[in-house]
Parts: sequence; structure tokens; C-alpha cells
Amino acid sequence: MLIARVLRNDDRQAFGELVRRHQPLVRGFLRRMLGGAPELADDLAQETFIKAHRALRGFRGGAKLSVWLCAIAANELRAEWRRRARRAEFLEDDSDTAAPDLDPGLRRDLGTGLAALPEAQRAALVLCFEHGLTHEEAAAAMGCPLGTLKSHVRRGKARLRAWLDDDRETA
Amino acid sequence: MNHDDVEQRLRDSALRPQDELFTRRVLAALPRRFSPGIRSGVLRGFAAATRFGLVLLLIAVVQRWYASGAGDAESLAGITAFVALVSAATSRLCGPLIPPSLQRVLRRGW
Repeated sequence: MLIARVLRNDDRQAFGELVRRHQPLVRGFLRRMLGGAPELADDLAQETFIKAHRALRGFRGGAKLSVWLCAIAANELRAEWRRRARRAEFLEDDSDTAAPDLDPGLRRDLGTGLAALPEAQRAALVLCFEHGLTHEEAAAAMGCPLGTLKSHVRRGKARLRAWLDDDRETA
Repeated sequence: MNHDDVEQRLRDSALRPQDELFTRRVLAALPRRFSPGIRSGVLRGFAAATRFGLVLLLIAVVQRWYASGAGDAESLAGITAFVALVSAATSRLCGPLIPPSLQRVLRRGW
């Protein structure tokens, strides 16, 4: 087992294999959450894997590694948003933390629709549908109660559907 | 459009970036491996103290060098080469001289 190899011998090849297997989820999740900043998303993904390597001994086998990695990635994301908020506060400019200002003429594709959702709803939809986590797993990754997660999914889906329906009407 | 269509479109448009470059980048950023048997906390502390000491040493040496060379082009080139050499050697021995999280902050001007 790869985790055991990493823990026993600090086997870098085994850890590389873990990174290979889980990077589509971690990087995909962070890219969706950060919209048009793939470099920053990859920086946070790298930090996620480094922290996972450091804390792997504390990983409990009861949870799935992918869920545990998502929880670390979500923490990295929160820290990034806190940094942005502090910076915006310092500069007395809230442009960094405001919801993206979308051009009404912009093509209303799914990515744009997702970007317009509140962060918690976006995270819930991305984890549950783009990456196939169960509601329980997504709630654990986001660190929120199951009921809250289900509510984020329901509201996010309704808003996204309305967004996409608007697109079809205007087309 | 119903809820299932939304779910299906989300599944179809999932972002799943994957490349070997990223894997190599993560592996290169991991702290250096030490011989087994030594506790990892002790090793991390040792590596961090070494890095910190080296950064202080670099600052002191560069400051003295610059002061004695009066800032001419030759002395600047010498300082740059010295700093690059020590940084590369330290990165190889103790992992990145500046932690990735700090590098990110510096890159973005904060």
C-alpha cells in the first residue's frame, strides 16, 4: 500500500504516485474555486500535498485519502481568502473579495455560472458532481454538517439551473 | 432544464488537470529526506534552524561585502554569484531556502 510505503521508508516514489492519482481532484477543485487563477490554484495544490506529506502519519484509514486531501485543500483556500480579505482591508479596496462582476454579454457557460455562485454552494457542487464525492464525504471535506451541505447543493443547483435556463432564453 | 441535466453537465465539464510536471514540482518542494530513526519533528526543527541561520549569515556577509566593495559592478556580480551558490547548496541539503508558502506571498508582493 502506497501510504504505508511513504510512512515506513519516506518513499518519494510512492508519494509521487499518490500525487499523480489525486492531483486531478485537488487541482480541479481549487481551479474551480479560484476561477481564473490556475497558477494560484496549483500553488495551493502544491501546498496541500506538502502539508499532507507532513501530516500523513495522522491520517486515519477510516476516511478516504481523497476526502482528507480535499479537507486540507479547503483549509488552504480559506487561508487564501483570509489573506485576500486582509489585503483588501489594508488597501481599503474590496475588489478582491467581491463576487465576480460578470459581463452580461458574456457567454453563459457552466464555468461562468459556477463562478457566479456563492463559494460554499460552488464547492458543494464541484465536490459532489464534478468529482463524485458523496454528500457525507463532501460535508467532511468542507467541515460542515451534512444538512448544511445538502442545502448548499440544493440551492446551488437551483441557481445554476436558473442561470443556464436564462442563457437558453437569451440565445 | 431539470436538476439531473445540471448534474450531468457538471460531470461532463469537470476540470481534472493532470501532468507529470506538477508531480515533479511537488516532490522537489518536499523537505529533504533524512536517515530513518531520527524523529521527523527534530529534523524539521534542525532544517528550519539551519535555513534561518544561513539566511542571517547571508545577510551579514552580503552587507559587509557590499560595504567594503563600495557597490561597484564587480562586487555586485560577486555577491549575486555567492548568494545563488549558497542558496542552491542549502536548497539541496535542507529543502527550499524560502518555504513555498512564503515564496507565494513574495511573488505576489506581500
